[in-house]
Amino acid sequence: MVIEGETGSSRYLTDYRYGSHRLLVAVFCRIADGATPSVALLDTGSEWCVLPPEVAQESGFDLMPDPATAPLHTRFGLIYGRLERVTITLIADQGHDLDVPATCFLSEDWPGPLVLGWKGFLERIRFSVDPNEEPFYFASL
Amino acid sequence: MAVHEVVPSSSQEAPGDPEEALLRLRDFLEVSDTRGAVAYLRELAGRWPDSERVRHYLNVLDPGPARVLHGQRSRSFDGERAWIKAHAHEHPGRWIALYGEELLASEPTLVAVREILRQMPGREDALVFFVPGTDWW
Repeated sequence: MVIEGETGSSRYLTDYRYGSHRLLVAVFCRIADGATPSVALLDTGSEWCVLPPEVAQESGFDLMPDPATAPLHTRFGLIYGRLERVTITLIADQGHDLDVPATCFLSEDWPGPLVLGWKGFLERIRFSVDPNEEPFYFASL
Repeated sequence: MAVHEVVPSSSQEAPGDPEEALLRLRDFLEVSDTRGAVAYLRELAGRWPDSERVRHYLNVLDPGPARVLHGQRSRSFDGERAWIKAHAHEHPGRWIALYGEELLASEPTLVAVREILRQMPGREDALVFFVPGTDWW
């Protein structure tokens, strides 16, 4: 089902475990045009999107920290990097995919997964989730 | 939550070149003032219209609207979803390639996964992702 006004929807991944921890909400997406699909952690508490360094390098980005970019505050302390624009496509099970021009923080020191953050991504779209059936609805603004 | 205010550049001593001016961008970003950062970058773009670095940051922080991809439909990821719930935790710190519920690769690097996929015709659209190590959480 696609809610009226929404572009598309997909079932999100929720509550699956890595070791002794659980990943709360993750969605399917593609990084950069035509790339293979991937899984991203949806994190409203993260300012920017964050790409694993291997993905950034594969997409042709430099990882050298930029002095104009403020460091990222993480549980590992400050991480220095650079900001780049990367197109991230939300993949729809129903309706249509959505290309979002995302602001991504890139750093060689990021040890985590692909993250979709608030200012760099989520505040540029409309989205909602339904914990009953686990669809992630999305649309352009 | 404390509200920070970035002092407008016009009230500070004017920087002499775009590189020096871009260092002030960090002041906006450190207090999550993206709108202020974009306004500041537009000011810099007016002053140094040929600066690629200024244009780059405008493009990064003010990238334009999302775009609907009409007519495109991806395959279902139901199989991958089921596999991830059941097995992802068994591969901490690894790069994974899946097609449906079939595990195609579990390697320590993305490069190694790509190499394996290159030898698997018909699996170009495999789902590829990183499972964080247990120390990440």
